[in-house]
Amino acid sequence: MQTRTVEMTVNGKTCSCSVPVTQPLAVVLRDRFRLSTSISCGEGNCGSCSVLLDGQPVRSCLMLAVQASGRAVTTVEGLDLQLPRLQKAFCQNHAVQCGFCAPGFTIAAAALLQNGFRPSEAEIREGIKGHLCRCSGYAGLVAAILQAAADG
Amino acid sequence: MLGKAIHRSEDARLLSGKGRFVSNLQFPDMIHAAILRSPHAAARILEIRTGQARNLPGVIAVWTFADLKDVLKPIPQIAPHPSLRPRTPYPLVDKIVHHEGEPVAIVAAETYAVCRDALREIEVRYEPLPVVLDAEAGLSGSPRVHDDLADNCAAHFGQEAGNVDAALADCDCVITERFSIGRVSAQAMETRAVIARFEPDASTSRLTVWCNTQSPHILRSLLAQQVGLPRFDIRVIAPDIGGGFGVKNRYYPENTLIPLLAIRLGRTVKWVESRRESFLCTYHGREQVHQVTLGLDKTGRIRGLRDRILYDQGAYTTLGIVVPHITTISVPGPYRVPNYQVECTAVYTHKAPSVPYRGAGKPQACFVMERMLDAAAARLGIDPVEIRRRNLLQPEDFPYNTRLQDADATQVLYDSGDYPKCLEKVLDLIGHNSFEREKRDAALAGRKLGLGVACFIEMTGRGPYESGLVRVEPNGHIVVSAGISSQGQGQETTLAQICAHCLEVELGSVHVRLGDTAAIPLGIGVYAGRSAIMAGNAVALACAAVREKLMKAGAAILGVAPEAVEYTGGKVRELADPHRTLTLGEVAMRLYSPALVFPFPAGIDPGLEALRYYKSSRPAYSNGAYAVVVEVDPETGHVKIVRHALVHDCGNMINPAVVETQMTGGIAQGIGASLFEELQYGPDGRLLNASLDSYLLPRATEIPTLRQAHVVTPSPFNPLGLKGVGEGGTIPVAPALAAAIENALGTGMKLTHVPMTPPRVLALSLAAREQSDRTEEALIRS
Repeated sequence: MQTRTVEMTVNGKTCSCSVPVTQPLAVVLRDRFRLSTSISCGEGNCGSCSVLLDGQPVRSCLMLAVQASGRAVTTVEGLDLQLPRLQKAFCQNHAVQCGFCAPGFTIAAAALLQNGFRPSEAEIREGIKGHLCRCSGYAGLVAAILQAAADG
Repeated sequence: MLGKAIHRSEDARLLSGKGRFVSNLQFPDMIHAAILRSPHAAARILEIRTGQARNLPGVIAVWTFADLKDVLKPIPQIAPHPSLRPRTPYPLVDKIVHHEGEPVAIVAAETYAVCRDALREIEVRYEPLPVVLDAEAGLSGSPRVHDDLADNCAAHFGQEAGNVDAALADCDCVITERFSIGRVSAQAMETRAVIARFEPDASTSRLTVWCNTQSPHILRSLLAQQVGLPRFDIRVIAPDIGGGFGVKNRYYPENTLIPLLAIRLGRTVKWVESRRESFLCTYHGREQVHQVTLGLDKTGRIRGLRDRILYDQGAYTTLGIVVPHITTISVPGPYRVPNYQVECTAVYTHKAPSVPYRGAGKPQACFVMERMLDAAAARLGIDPVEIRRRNLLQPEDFPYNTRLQDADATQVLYDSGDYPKCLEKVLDLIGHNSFEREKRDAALAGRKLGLGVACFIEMTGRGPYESGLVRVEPNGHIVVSAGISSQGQGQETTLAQICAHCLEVELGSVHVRLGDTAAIPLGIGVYAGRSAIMAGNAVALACAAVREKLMKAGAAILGVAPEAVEYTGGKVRELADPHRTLTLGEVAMRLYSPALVFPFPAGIDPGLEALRYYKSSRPAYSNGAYAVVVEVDPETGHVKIVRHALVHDCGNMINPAVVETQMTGGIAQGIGASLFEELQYGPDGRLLNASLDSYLLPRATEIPTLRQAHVVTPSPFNPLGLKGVGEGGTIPVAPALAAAIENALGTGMKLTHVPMTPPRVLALSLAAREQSDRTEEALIRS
């Protein structure tokens, strides 16, 4: 298995690691860095593995770890400023049930609300439609993001 | 504490990315497993060659049935029934494959990537065999799914209440219809996963298995049989689970294979199901065909109902006839059906086994009953809401004896409910009174709106028992355990609420530990809306016992008679001298400590804990009514949900927010199964849409926020007056949507298949347009 040394910033810390060239970023984040990135479909259909890459949401299961070379990756653990506001809104609105999709939705919400954007309900639904939740029917997630936007 | 929408304690870790999901767990020195699966739905295995695979660097083991034939046993048949001719699989296929995806070989390697490479090196020669892909075809008996059975009949059963033949012979109106419900996949966001570790020198359980199972204790018992270890030598841990929905209750081949690898290789082994595998080999749900006859008088009152059901069993009888039996006793639903006869044949097919998936037979039953009422309403010229009013059971009818028997021969008895009130309330919520005008206004703007309503009941809280353990620690905190695991339904919070209520303590001092066979000796698990009723009541019983002991021990410590104290606000208090109090922690300290430190109260046993079992043979019945307004695009068949409403009665609610989120989640799955989801097979029995881009789950743009309201009729069948909520949302959605779509297109009762996908709705739209063109033409000519 061919490996390559990749230098990337993960949640603000620059690290250098040797990864198999065919390994997805999601696997490295979950198994090597022990972060909250979950792999649900591995094919880019569900959004559970979403992380921020240089501030923009991407599906880390569709990226090779070597493609993150020189880039900044942010998972839920790295959302310092926005996280408490999002967590409070998700919790108060009973947005989450099993929690497996929660990291992906948290990243999606953080991306949607950056730069002080205050989306309408319709814009929120459109903005998170790339993320699947099988437990909740989305109502609590939408209400939570609306609240977080208002609080922000 | 009870009845409050407390924020969930689970959220702290789940919202920080610290959920403990088996699929994410890592252990030092862990190896990985992957499974080679049959690409054929029916085949004879002629030869398997594993030599190349074994030689790959990093591969530790490659096993087929031949390598394990000394230890492999068929997975036990649970849920037997006199009419069942059972067949269950071996954990690896020996010679005959019975459905696509059956495990044929297993690989263990240092990394998952090496496992995948090794799978490609295994050569299997198959002889494909003819396939049976639907129950109706399977009835002919040829080809046969199981060669050692005379035909494909897995079970045949039925019952009658009253005399349907006589009733139907004497009706003003008799309607006959055929309905079909498609096969679906639960598709939890976390796929199945198993991690096993065997420590031959451990002083406690040598085999530890982490599995995202809904029934840790049952898994442990079955695993003991499968691997030949005693139960006490096995610990099963089910930490956070990313969705269950019933299908994670079953015992799967991997539950045996991964522990066997751990035992024989002496390594910790991890297996995570891929998304594609979750379509092929996590068992399926729902597929049934109903041939129904309904007889009514001219006022629309039901006289008799006959239903002949075909159940597509799949290749194995994993949970016997549990699902179709539930359907047979659920068809009458919330209505008075004076004469009812039902027969069901379960048929083997070359597909994955069909098992309980959220709703477990009730969605199909509700679809049938509600559609027949819509058909009758159209035939008799009675408003569809009115026909329901005329047939709903009334509050004074309870407890209501349906005269039907459950599979365990107990009488099916509805406990309590106000069915008409739920219907009236949902009509109000959806804007029924003003809908005709709304529809006309929309029509003027070229939009086709329709409204549909469905009433439903939900059998919840099946027994036989559940366990609850409550222990007060010397620091005054309380640990609660139960024989269940959680898949996100908030049981850590709701069971803590019950404990905090019963023992009058702060919620934050209660710690709930679920999903671990080491935490509590016996348990059943989570399904059929039973956590609150069964585990909740067990925890309440344990709390009552702890409370009693607190008073007795507290009195002894204070040196007074047991009647001379009271327990209030978390303290034992001497009635005659209220300043003399003991906290829970102080009592616990005395009961835990050796006699050297404190004198031990005489006549009292050590410890401040209680283990109790709540036993029940009486399910509690939740009920509700669901209404939906849709807009149908007549050019594409696309159905948009404009708004929807639910009124639900689950008796006393521990946490209304937990109830509501369960309902919205259930309705979301109901919408998926009604409009989008159906497993599709090619003629060779291979799944065509084993992926989330071709098996469509509803997204945030498809489900508007549900308007919800509650009615509360506590259940007289359990001490806490609870009724379950887990499955309810899935039950009424399909028939309500069908009625709404037909209302929008101006057709009679035509939609008889679930799901109602755009092509089917478009066909109905085109047929309706053709019909109205013909009518117009006839009018012009005349």
